[in-house]
Order: sequence, then C-alpha cells, then structure tokens
Amino acid sequence: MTDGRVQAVISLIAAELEIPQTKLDASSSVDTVPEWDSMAHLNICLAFQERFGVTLDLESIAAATSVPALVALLK
Amino acid sequence: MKTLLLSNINMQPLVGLLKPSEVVCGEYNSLLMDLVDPASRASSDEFDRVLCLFDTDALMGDGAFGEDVPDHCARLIDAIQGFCARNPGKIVLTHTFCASSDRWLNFADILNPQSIRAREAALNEQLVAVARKTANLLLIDLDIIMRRQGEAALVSPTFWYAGRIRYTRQMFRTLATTIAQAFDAYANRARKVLVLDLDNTLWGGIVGELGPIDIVLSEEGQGRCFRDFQRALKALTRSGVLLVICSKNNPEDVDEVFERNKMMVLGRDDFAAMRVNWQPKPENMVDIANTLDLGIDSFVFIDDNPVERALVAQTLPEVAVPDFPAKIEDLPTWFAREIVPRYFGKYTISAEDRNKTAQYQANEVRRTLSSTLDLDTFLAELEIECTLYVNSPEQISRAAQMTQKTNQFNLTTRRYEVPDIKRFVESEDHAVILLDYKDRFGSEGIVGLAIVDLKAGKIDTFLMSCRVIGRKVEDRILDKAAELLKARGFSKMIGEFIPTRKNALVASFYDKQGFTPSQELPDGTRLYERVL
Repeated sequence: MTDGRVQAVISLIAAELEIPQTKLDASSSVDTVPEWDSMAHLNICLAFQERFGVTLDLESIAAATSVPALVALLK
Repeated sequence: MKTLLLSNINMQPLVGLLKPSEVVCGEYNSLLMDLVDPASRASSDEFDRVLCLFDTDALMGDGAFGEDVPDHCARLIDAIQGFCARNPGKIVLTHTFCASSDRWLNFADILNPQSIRAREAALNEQLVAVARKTANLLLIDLDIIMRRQGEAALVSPTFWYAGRIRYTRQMFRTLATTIAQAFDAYANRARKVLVLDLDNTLWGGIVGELGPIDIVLSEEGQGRCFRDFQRALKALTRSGVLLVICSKNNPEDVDEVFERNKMMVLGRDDFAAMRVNWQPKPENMVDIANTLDLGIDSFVFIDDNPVERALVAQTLPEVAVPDFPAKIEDLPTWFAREIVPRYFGKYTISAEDRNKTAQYQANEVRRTLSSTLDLDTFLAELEIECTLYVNSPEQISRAAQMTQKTNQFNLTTRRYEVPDIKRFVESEDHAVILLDYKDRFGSEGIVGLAIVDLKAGKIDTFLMSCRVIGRKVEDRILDKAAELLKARGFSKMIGEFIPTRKNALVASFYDKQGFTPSQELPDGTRLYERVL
C-alpha cells in the first residue's frame, strides 16, 4: 500500500519534471533533483492537488519538498 | 508557429498545457514593457502569436482596495492597441478584465460609480471597442469562464501566496482549451454542417410510435430540454452553420411533425437538407456532402443512438461524432459549453453567414432539378444494353445469391436457396427472369431479378442491385413478366410489396409503374394490379 503511494508520487513528479522515473527514488527531494526547482515545485503541487484530490495549504507547499513529505500528505 | 506568453503574474503552469505548440514565457511581470518597447522580444520576428493573460487585481494595485491611485489597466489597453498596430503580422490574444470578487468591499459598491465592478465594466467597454477595430486582436471573455465553473474552483489563494499563481489546475486546463478554440475560431476552422437525428435528439420519444403531437416537446420538463436545444440550434444557424436532418423514419411521420406540431422551434426552412429514410446514415451523409458540395470533414453528427454514432464514426472517420449527454437536462448546456466552442467556434460572423441556410437550400433545389432534367440525356448517352434471360440454368446460383443479399430495391425480400431457384427454373409454374446490364463504361453483369408465379399471375420476387438504381432498366423486366403472363392467358399482373426496415426505397415502386393498389394486409403488405 505504502509502495503504491510512493510509486504514484514518483510518477507524478517525473511527469511534471519531464524526466524518467528512474532518476527518482523514495527519498528524492529538491536537494537531490536538479530539475526540481521552486517553480517546478509549484507545478508538482498543483498536479498533486488535482491527481489526489488533496487540498494543500501554504505551509505544506513550503514543507513538502521531498517524495517522503508528499507521500505523508496522502495519509 | 511560436507563441510568447506575457503576464503580470505567474502563468508558467499554463505552458505545459498549451503543448504541442511552442510557448515561451516572457519575463515575470514584463507585460507592459514588452508590449510598449519596439525593441522587445515580443516585437521580434521570433513570435507570431502573443498571449497577453493578465491579472486584473495586480494591474489595479491599491486601486483595487479603493485607494485613489493611478492603475495600469488603461495603460494596458493602450499598450495592446499600439502593439497590434505596430505588429500587424502577429495575432495578440487577450481577455476581458475580471477582478477577484474579493475586491467587493461592501454593499455600497453596487451604487458606487468608483467601485471595482463599475471600473471593470468601463475598462471592458474600452477594450471591446479596441478589439472591434483591431483585426489582429483576439479577445476572449474571462467572465464567462468564471461564471461557468466558479471562482472557488478556479482561483487559489494558496498558490497565489505560495508563488504568484492565481489559478488552479482546472483553470489552467480550461484556459488552454479556450485559447486553442479561440485561435481555431479566429482562423475560421469551424465545421460547417451539423447533422441531426430526430427521435430522442430533437424531441423525446419516437414519432413513429407516439405520433406527431404526442412526441415529448413542450415548455415543461423533458419537453422543454428538447425545445431549448432546438432554440440553441436555431441560433447556431445564424452563425452560418447548416443544419441537416438524417433520420430513420417514415418521411410522412416527419412531415406531420413539421406541419402540425406547434412546439417545434425549428421549421423546414431551418434545414439545408433532409434525409428521412431507411438507408444507412453514412450513405445519407455522403449524399448530403455531395449535394451541398461540402467536405464530409466539415460535418458534426449528433444522435442519441450509440450504434448509429459508432457506425458513422467507423465508416466516416472525418466526421466529428461527439458522445450524447447521459441526462436529457444536460442537453442544452452540453451543446452550449462543449459542442459550439469545440466544433462551431466563430470569432466574426458575416451577413452572408446569417443567410447561409437559404443559400444552400437554393443549391439543393437547383441540383435536384438539374439532375432530373438531365437524367434522360444522361441515360441516353450511357448506351445501355440489357439482355434478359428466362429460366437460364447457368445463372441459378447468381439468382439465389441476389435474393439473399439484396435489401433495398427488393419488393418482397423473399430469401431463396439454390434448390428453390432450381425448382422455379425447371417447373412450369414459375419463371425466373434475369437482367444482364452493360453500358459504354462496361458490364455490370446480372443485376436484376424477377420470379413470376405463372399460376397465380403474380410477381413473387422483384429486385435490382443498387449499382443500377436510377437507370430505368426495371421496366424491361416488368415488360418481360407481362409478356409471359399474357402468353399464359392472364389479363392482369399482380404486384406485391412487403415492407421491411430496409426497403422503403421501393415502397411506391408499383404505383410509379402504373399499377393500382388492390389490397392492404394488416402486416403492411400491399397488393397491386396492372392490366395487361
């Protein structure tokens, strides 16, 4: 179940960043992925809201800058 | 084709959605500078389209909160006008001013001539006036989008404060679709013909069952859904779209609806062509395309029946075949929001557009007329040669095959196997007449068949291949049948028509061949007689 969520988040991020999923793993973050800049992060958050039906608030957008943090928002 | 996207807010999330066209974002908040500066990137040859998608609140600045400060809105209108004039080869797309409803300050706003709403209305009046006289400016109505989907679903305070992104993903998607549709409308890429089914599409129920008055069409409930749909269709004809009926029905039933049902918004004059018959719809649509002299790729087909839609979509892939709404109350909304902008978008409507239906109706009449006038000459020039075979043992399998396959020009649709035909050929009681056709273009082979019952004096089977319909060779078979019956001492010949779903084409065949109706059976079978 957890793996499914991780995979879904990774696939969403890869699509938004237009990079192969293989460049991401369960611990990827803005610090480890060069394409994941602040603008790309907002795009990821917009897509995340739409895909998972989760409404993000200002704080979580600022904090959820890694795969584990985004996955945590799905719980 | 390359597009530059200018804004005073963060519109980056739109870029990916506008693909596959190549879109580049201007510098953040460089909107006014880019438009005004003749040396800017926007003015360069690199781009032939400029999107100017601004945020009204941000342009108004503190003016949006009632402060008496000069805002940038009027400057933007001037800048757009100047840019369009300096760059006649570029198309500029922009939208109306649409401030956030949060800029409503109090109930007094409605009376206040300086309120944001009043300011917005005045600005839009100016902007529309500029758009009217600026051929390369394409203006879209942002307020319509906000009203349809709601500000709450389209505007996001979270992303605004997180990164100057005003809109949600839903809004970016809607903007992308609307922009693409607006450019199509501007380029006159709209489709031209809307082909409509009748039963459960223009009215509720089946006219053949309910009758012309009791079909569901009224000012109440479901009937009103269909009536409103008809109203919207009528409005569409004024933008130059041709309406066409393509319906499997008896033409008399449909005639009655037009003549007697007062709830019909659409009249015969609103249609450029009508095909009410039992032929497959793709055939009718090809025929309509030929008659109107318009490509089938300019057709849209609306029919509630998924089987008909699938057949058209499969056989004529150029025709647009949208799904029909699941709930009938969605029909008028679906039409206004999805069908019109998607297939019939127009940015300018000419006087000619408003009268297009009448123009095409005249064409259809002329064509029908000229084709009948020329038919005899045409037939004479074909140099038709027919050979008749009576009881030919060599053609038995072809005769059996024709009774199995022929549906339309088939008076009785009796299916026979080879042994049946063999029996007819060999017996004294029946005669099997076959017609072999050729003309100067070549031979069609055996294309006509009659089986004459020489005991009853009756034509048991009469059929023709569709390939030679309209060439007037039917008479020759009938003449032969008459000759055979006369030789047996009959003074009259009996014809029979058994209606099926597919043979409406020949429903009045015997009437036209000089037969008189003698009897009608409860199942619809009609008997005819002709004196020999």
